[in-house]
Amino acid sequence: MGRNGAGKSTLSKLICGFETPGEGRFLLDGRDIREDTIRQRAGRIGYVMQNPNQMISKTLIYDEVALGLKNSGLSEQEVRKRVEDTLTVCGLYPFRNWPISALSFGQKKRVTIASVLVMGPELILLDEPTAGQDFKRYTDIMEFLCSLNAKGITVVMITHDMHLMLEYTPRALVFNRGRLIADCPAAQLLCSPQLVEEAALKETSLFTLANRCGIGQPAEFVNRFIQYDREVRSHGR
Amino acid sequence: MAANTVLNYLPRKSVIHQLTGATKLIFFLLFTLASMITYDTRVLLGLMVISFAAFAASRIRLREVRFILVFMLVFLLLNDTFIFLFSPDQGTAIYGTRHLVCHLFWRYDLTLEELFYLFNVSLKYFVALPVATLFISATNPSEFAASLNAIGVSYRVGYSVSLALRYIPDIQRDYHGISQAQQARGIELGRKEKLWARLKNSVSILLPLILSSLARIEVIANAMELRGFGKDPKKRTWYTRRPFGKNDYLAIALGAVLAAGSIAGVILNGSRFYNPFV
Amino acid sequence: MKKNSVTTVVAVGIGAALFFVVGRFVAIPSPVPNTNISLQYAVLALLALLYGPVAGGLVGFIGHTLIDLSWGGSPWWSWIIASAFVGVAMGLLSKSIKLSEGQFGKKEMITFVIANVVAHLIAWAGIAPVLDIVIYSEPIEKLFSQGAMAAVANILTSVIVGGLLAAAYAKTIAKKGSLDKE
Repeated sequence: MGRNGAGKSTLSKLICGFETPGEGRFLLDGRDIREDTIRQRAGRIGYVMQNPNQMISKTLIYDEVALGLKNSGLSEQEVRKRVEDTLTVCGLYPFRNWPISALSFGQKKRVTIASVLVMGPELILLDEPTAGQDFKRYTDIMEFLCSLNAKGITVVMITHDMHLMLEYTPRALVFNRGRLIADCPAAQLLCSPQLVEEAALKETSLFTLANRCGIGQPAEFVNRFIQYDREVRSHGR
Repeated sequence: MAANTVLNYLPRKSVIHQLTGATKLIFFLLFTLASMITYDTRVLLGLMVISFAAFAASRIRLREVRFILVFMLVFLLLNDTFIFLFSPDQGTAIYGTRHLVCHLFWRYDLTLEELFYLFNVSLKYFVALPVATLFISATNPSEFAASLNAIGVSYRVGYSVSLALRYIPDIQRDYHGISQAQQARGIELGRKEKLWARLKNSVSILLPLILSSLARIEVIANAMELRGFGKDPKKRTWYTRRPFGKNDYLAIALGAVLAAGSIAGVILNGSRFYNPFV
Repeated sequence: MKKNSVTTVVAVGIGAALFFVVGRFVAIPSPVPNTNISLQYAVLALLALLYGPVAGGLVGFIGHTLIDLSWGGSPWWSWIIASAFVGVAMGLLSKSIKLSEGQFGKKEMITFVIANVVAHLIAWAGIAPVLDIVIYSEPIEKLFSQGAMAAVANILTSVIVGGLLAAAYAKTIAKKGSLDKE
């Protein structure tokens, strides 16, 4: 998290190898990946861009998702199996022969996630996954990412949305002016007005409400509301 | 505006910068005309003096445009070499005489006429260079489109130009993003692939770039139409258009004189070339 | 594709920007050492097919001029006019190849290839050298060889890459009623 220009996107680019670092190390599972090529890193860290149109280069969904495996030396059947499995996980199997131009924005987003997922990464890094979406789409994508997480894939998101962070992530990394200023549980971030200001985050309206109403533990209030809301949504659907 | 870096606009306080965009455009066109018409060494040298004087007046230092100058010089040398390799006797064909300097190899002799001819060719390209560099470095890109309209180009074309300048950085950024995303999936355009593969892979990058640009076209066209663009078929007022001042008229007059002088020189001389060998 | 004058103005603007970025920054190393293959004519072919001859010609003209200006030098008018000619020529095809509707089968492909070859030959082996002679008085042999090389290079890129692009683009236009969930 962090304001515009804090360095979040730059950091992602450095991690994925799109930019070269001046100094420092990148440790993945304890091994420095600095010498790895973009392609090698892509096999372990999947980067999903904010604009799905920038990532899509094929016409058919199947081709797009299979693209990353084309040069990997796997047999035709192996590729097919992996692609179809990934498509199923992403809820896109019924659409596998469709042209991408027929999809909605949210579906395209899932295609880009699938195309990255098919390479079998341990970690996926998403840049503003929910930007510009209505609440239902936003919830759909986030639930989907949660299911991926449940399968053991680490999910890292770049976002401005504090509510998103509070609702879905246990750990927040806050950047300001190119430096990491906090690495803490999401709820804890709320409790430090100083941090909130430094990172130019906006205090969520729930928190403000809690304070105005004189509720003793605002952070706890916010957490409970979020839990309650989730239950209502998952049962109400 | 980021287009500044694309076209290298360097803002300064100078007489040249004060001139309107239209003036600079007109002068640039007239000067180019003058230098294209003549092959008369004396006229070309005179034009070069004026060209450098204008550059000095702009307060842009040579150091800032050093890269471009070097690039141009390399280009000129290559061009001269090619011309020589193809037609070592072009000089003689033009000037009619043949003074041998030395024999090189095979059919290649170096003649004074050829050296003089090559000198003139280089001079022609070189003369316009300071003025061209000036035109780019001293004109605010935002004024560019308005200037085109001032010389009678349809305002729609002028607007297209200003749209192009506005969106070049965005499209550049799109391109980098797309190319990196493709690299992450093993699509390379560099030397590691065979030529055919490189051509095929370029489609993976160009197609999304084109598709996103086409999407932009639709969005922008809708926005412009909503704001009533183009309802008046003839006229459009420009925010960055400045009125002409005394210096502007002087500059345009100078340009006209140079162009006329160059043409007159050719007519009087009977040929475009100045022949010192006769 | 809704065609009116506002769309054309914008298409020319964005098209020229695209021509510029591709011509200036996207380069494939070629087998000849220290040279690159530029791809802007492939893009020009596609744009001209979609938006017509006026747009095509202007994209070629403005795009090429901006590229020359960005190298810091004087625009090379003879070659700029040749580029504009290619844009116009390919744009004339837009009446017979309805690419915006997804029409790009065998017949269209053959027309596309032939048109490209003819347009580029005229432009680089015809218009450009002739104008170069008129303006710069350079020797004819050098100019025509230079032109021929450019013609060959540009024909190859616009036919191969341009053709692939046009075919790929046509595929993205879904035909009505053809989609079922499986």
